Amino acid sequence: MTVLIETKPSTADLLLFADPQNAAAALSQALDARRMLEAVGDEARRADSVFRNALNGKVAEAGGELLRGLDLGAVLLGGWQRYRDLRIAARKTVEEPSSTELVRLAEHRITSRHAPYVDVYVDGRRVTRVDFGIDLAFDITLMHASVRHGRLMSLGAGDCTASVTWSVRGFPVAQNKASLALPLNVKLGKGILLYAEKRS
Amino acid sequence: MFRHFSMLAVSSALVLSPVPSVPVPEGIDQCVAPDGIPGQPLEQARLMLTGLPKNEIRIQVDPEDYPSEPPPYVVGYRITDCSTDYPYQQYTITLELGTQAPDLRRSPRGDAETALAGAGLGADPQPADAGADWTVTDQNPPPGALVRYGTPVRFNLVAPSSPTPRVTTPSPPVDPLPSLVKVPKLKGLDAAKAEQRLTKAGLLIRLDPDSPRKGKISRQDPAAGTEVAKRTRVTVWLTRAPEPEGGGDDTGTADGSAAEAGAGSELGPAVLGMAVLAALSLGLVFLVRPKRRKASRRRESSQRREASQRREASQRREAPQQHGNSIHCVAYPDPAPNLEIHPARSTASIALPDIWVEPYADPGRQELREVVP
Repeated sequence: MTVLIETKPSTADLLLFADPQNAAAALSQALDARRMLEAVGDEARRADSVFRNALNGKVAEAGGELLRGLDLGAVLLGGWQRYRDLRIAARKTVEEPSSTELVRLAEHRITSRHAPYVDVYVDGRRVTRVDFGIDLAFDITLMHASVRHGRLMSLGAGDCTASVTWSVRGFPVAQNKASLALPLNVKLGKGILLYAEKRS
Repeated sequence: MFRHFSMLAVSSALVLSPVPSVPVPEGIDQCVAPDGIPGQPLEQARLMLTGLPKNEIRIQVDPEDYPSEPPPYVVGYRITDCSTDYPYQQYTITLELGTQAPDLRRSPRGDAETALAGAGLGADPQPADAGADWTVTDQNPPPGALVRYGTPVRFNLVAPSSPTPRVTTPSPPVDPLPSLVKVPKLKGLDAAKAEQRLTKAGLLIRLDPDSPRKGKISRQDPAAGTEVAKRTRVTVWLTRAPEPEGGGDDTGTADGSAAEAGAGSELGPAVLGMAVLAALSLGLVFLVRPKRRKASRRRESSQRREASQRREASQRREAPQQHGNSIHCVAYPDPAPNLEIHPARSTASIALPDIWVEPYADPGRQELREVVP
């Protein structure tokens, strides 16, 4: 079972754009303005606007999909799994299986850098790769967590501010900073594994 | 409100949480390095690992031989030989070193490979058979990204654009400044002589349409002595020359004869007859003349109107050529016109090649840093 935290907004595209349709439009504009795909047209010997628009549209759509697929809750969980005190607490709960550790997480910052990309094929031949950058930063105030059996079982979150920068081939497409609503108390079902005892 | 209660509960739990009584068994990889080591310059990372209470850390680096410039960074680490007795830990940390990917964009392939070799990184040019003068358009990892030593940096190259043809636009033939000449004095000359004089001076003659066709020049424009450009037309007006003396001679002779006839008594009846004939012919002349004059005036009036119209049209045509306006027009053809060709068929009918894209998501790399109050 996949454990998720539902944040609001839930995905990177919604953190950037009020209307997710605008993601592809903004990317298309950036691709066009920087003439990033011009070389593809040259290589395919298609310099006409019909080809250029079709190519631009496909890449923009795929880039928007990548942005939409980035779940902010999953990123946060990935960050908290690296919180040292949580890992120590998890180890303790493995050593003492009946115990539950409550951990207070001080104010902290989780950063996450993503480098998705899109491979472009024309007539079955790969012609280029378009690299994207999605940089996320979450500033989280006081929160607490409970740990049992080496697993993160629940979270009580504080306030969170998220900032995101979306870039294509190093050039920024859009960026935003917004408050991210986290659920006050999240039950994580069977929990998220923080520490597993090594089997000898 | 609920949040305050929950925080209170957390705080209480922390206070009441039992101190671990069971020692952590040795032999498991549970040593934990401080947060934030990756991404630090090597020297900074050494400082962070040195002097930690309850920690005994041996530091190794991988690779042991690395370029001193640009400065090495820690891109990852491995913990080995871990021995822990919570909260005490003793371990060997191997810092995996790397560097920042240099910015290769817009560099020729040769320079890009040199830069990568200097930074201890590999090169993965695309296409591999690109020439040394091809230019890097983009790279992966991007500039500034931390990469392990030896990591190949993939960069895309484009052929140098064919040298811009040197366009030499033939300079238009330089028209020498119109040399100025003085308009000669034409008054009193007939048209032929005036034309000769003007031609000699490099000027052209133009007879005013209102001017009689014959006679001597009474007016000229521009005036004599005016400096004008060569090939300027000088307009002249002719004045009809006085009646040729030939007709007058006849009349004069007759008048003289009559006078003489009156004066001399020896003139015979033949002479008298001739005088009568002359008087009769004069009477006839006086009778016929007014009619001729009227016809002539009508003809002249009509000619003048036509001439006036011609003159206006001619002035309109010739105005720019007259030096007085100082407008000099030289027409040059465009040696390099902008030529475009557009297909007539509708663009909607152009077949699109099969374009498809394959997105690859990246789960990313999360880092967590506590904010020290």
